Amino acid sequence: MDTRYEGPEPLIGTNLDHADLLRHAGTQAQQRGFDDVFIVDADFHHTERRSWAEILEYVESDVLQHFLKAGGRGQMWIPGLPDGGVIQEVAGRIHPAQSWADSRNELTASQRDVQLCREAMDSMGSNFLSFFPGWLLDLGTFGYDLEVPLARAWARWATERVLPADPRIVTLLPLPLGSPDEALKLVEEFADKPGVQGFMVTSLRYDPLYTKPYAKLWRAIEERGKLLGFHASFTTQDRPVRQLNKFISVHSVGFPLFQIIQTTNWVINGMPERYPNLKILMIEGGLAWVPFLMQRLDHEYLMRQSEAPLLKRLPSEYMREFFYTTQPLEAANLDYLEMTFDMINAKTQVLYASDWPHWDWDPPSRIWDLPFLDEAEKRNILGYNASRVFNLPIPDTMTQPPAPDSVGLSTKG
Amino acid sequence: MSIVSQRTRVGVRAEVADNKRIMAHVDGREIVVFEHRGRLYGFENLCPHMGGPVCEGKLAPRVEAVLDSDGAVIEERFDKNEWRIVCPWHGVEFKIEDGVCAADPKYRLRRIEANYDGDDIYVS
Ligand code: FES
Repeated sequence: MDTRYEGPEPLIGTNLDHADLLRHAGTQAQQRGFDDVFIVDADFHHTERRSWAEILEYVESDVLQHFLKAGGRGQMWIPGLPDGGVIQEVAGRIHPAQSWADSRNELTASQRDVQLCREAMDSMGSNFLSFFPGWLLDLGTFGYDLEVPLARAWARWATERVLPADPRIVTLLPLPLGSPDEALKLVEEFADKPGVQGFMVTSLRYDPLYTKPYAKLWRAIEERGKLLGFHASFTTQDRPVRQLNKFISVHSVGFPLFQIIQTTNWVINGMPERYPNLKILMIEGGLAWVPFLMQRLDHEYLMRQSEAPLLKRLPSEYMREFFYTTQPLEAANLDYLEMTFDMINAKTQVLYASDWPHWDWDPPSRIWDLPFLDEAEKRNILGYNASRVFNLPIPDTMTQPPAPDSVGLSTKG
Repeated sequence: MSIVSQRTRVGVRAEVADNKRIMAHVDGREIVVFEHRGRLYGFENLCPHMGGPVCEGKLAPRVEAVLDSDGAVIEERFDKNEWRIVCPWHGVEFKIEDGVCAADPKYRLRRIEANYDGDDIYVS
């Protein structure tokens, strides 16, 4: 029997470009009047594979730079990093982001990234986006020799080549937490750079972030009024995850798993009491894990309070003061989603994120079309919440949010 | 009931040859017509998942898992009797025979009758 498959058949034309893919997002924005809706995309990625050679120019050690360039033979290469990119695109069924370059070959890598940001913002109707790496989200697994230089290289590249090109592009810089001292140095060096609205824990990592060596780091971020994000990622290497034989399984479990681990450690070790003004944003884990963890931690805390002596309230109460990005919005059952929004206090704590250009991205219409939100809640989630958390200005020409106290908003966040 | 109000010519045979597709605007809707294995298919180019350009996606056959009598998976293989169009936004698959989503039948594409009349292609 012939079980061979010759491969997917051609598309309209031969190459579905970035702009083609986003055309319907542009139509959605027009139909919904997004030109008067302040929208912040709190999680947007570039494909650093395409910018890798340029980023490597910012690696400060000549020897390491040479090593990474030679090892990669011109392509992105990080020792030990598994290449799951093809699987992300559902074995080629979805148009791969890597093939968008064709019409932009005259641009440098960073110019191309900026151009793709602008095209996405213009199509989706967003006013700002938070620009993040992709593969470097696994920074916490690279080991000290690579983690520190690559975090520094990305920070330098982003702040010199990308953020200055368009004030609508901001970021949270990934921290090299394998070295608390180096992470603190990165905060001190980059916190005041334009577009750096905060810093990021790449959640897939094994460092005890609640311990003394990190205390100065968290205090430094808190004192500067910067945001601390935790960006989810996944691994196929951890023992429990290695049982999962399909990408759907690894991805479904992996992203929330590391958010659950980071949140549990952060809350149970009393970090919200120790750093009460440090704003926490959980990114790209979806939302469905949050009610689970709230219930689970509250249940156990009741019986084992002595193990979490710093807490003055239930764990879920601290979690309700965290901020969460929407994507990937688990919306298969809207009744469950509505309950989740209610438990998280979404109208003040949830920030829209596209996660473009990844395979499970959400356009802004995903929020606007939710039947259980009123317009004020939609506007909060799409942009006003992010305006407060990221400290971003809303243009005078657009509808402004109501005063925080008139809608019961926390003035803390 | 069809979403196209009247029989409308959208192109000619050569425009769907070699796996090309016709995109047209009829009654304010974006529609796509393509030929697969000698048959014409027409759908509104609007994905019921989140509104993506579904008909600009790739065609792929169903994947099936084959079990032995003990229930062990022997292999996974392509079933080329069932082809699907894969939305390029998130990869949701719709059967081209009826437009129904392979994972959840509550999602379905809007089908449009597409026929040859000589070398011309009409939707209705
Ligand atoms: S919009 Fe088509 S798969 Fe999501």
